[in-house]
Amino acid sequence: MTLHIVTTSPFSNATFKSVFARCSENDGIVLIQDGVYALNHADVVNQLTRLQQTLGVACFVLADDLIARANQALPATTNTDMIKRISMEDFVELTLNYKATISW
Amino acid sequence: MASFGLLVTHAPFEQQHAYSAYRFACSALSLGHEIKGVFFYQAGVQNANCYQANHSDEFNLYNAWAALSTQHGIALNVCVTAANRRGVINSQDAKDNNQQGFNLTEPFNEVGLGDLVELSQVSDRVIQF
Amino acid sequence: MITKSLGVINSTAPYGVSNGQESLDLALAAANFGQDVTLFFVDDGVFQLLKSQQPIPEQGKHYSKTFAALTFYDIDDIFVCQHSLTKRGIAVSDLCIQVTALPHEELNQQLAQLDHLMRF
Repeated sequence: MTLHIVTTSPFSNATFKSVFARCSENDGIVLIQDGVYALNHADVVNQLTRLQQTLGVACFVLADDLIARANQALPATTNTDMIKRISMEDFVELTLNYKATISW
Repeated sequence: MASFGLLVTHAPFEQQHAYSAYRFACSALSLGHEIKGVFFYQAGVQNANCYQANHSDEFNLYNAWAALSTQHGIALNVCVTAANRRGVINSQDAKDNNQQGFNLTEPFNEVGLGDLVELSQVSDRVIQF
Repeated sequence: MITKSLGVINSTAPYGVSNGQESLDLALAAANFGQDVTLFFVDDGVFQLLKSQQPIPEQGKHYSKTFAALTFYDIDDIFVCQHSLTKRGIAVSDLCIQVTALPHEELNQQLAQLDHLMRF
């Protein structure tokens, strides 16, 4: 069980594709820094939803980084409910629920 | 309670990574966890440059790292090879290379990569930023 | 006593950025200290392994020559993403060292066994 920490916007590079390829059953994905822009990317949100349904991959977003970017679930993006808003403290605890982390 | 090692591989200011690492460290400490050390590698070594002069209305990460280290006894270890390549040198390096100044001082320390291996051994999780 | 294993993931191409060289430095140092090191090459990282690279010093160090020495450091588990190779039109025979090319699922299983993961 790996926690993937994603720091880049899906609009600027192919990192999310790389992350999805590395996801195994019950892995987790946490969006921080520019990774939070994934919430604006309909295709990525759909893929995150599919990964959750097929592999049980849970998805989280660092609320502070979302708020800093004025990026709380813009209407353009639908159904981001499955992406759980978490605090920095939650992020710390989250890393302990997984065996290791990969930062992307 | 758990123990963490942090690996910082990005420079301050240009990118948010080092700030995220600092915030992670503060949050982990506030939850009662232990930070076994912070290891600076690649462009992350720029965090150790004591000549950083921030505008007064900007967050000063250098001071924040130093305070974190002093208050909690957390080692701030900098890979010597990565640092020297990027012009981050301590007083000994300055002597060895006939340089007039140096910019790596306490509480940052120059170490080898073996210290990262050691950090990874004593930490339940190593988080890279 | 070194007990925790390390996986080093290479996902970026050589020369354009220093990641590959500094990742190799780290892998060799860790192995030198007796740590169990497994190397992964995924995405553009597979370009690091191509035979016949000919950088001039101004383009960066020719560190891919050092891959041949990995076995002397007891780094024998070198896993490459088959999908990344195929997408880039690269065959295993185009690579400068012996590696194990794996499909996603099997490569991910290898990743999941390691205690710490670092990516460059």
